[in-house]
Amino acid sequence: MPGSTQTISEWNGVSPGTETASRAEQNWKAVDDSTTSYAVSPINSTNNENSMAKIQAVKFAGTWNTLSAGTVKIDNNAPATGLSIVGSVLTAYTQPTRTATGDSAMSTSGLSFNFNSSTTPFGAGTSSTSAGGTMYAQALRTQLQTLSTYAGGPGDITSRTITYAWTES
Amino acid sequence: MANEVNGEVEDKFEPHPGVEDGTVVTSIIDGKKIRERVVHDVDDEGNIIGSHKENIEVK
Repeated sequence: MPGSTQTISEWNGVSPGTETASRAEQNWKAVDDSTTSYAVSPINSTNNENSMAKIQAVKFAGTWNTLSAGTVKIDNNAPATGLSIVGSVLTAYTQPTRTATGDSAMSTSGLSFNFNSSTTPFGAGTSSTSAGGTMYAQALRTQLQTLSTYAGGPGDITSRTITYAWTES
Repeated sequence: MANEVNGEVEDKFEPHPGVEDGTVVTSIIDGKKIRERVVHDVDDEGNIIGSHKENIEVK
């Protein structure tokens, strides 16, 4: 069996959100869209600003029997003093904002996610599925929160890695 | 000829946000002042593993 394929989609805008498929980046920025360069929509740590919340989900396709045990983690949720990356797995869509999402620091050990449906990642889902074909995993919401204690100055922060894992047959 | 250095560089993991737990900060979000509280996230042993902000009020 060839196995599943995966792409990452992003949702922006008012509920139920507009999907942009096959995202190649997940840059935090100050605007809620999938097109504006982060370089022209930066986050000012001097003002303790937060990024716009970023909502993305794994979209499975291809040929598979079962998917289960989904987890997602980040390699580092505090890449410097004054920088925090927070995150949670969503059961429903909420339009992104720049105010604090209220999520805790993004897990470095792994948040569990469920597999929802062939049309949307937003819902309770199930921890395992044998539906086959297209399947959206529950979405991950992340936000970069800054404080004026950040001493890195203007420019890019170090790149982070978000890892999705699952069991497949 | 340049000196060769072998080794690995790891990210510095510094989960302390630089302020005490419960510190209230004023954030500027799209031109508006937002008051937020910084909360430390701790593990079962009380170690700081990150932090997050909570909204207090909008002015």
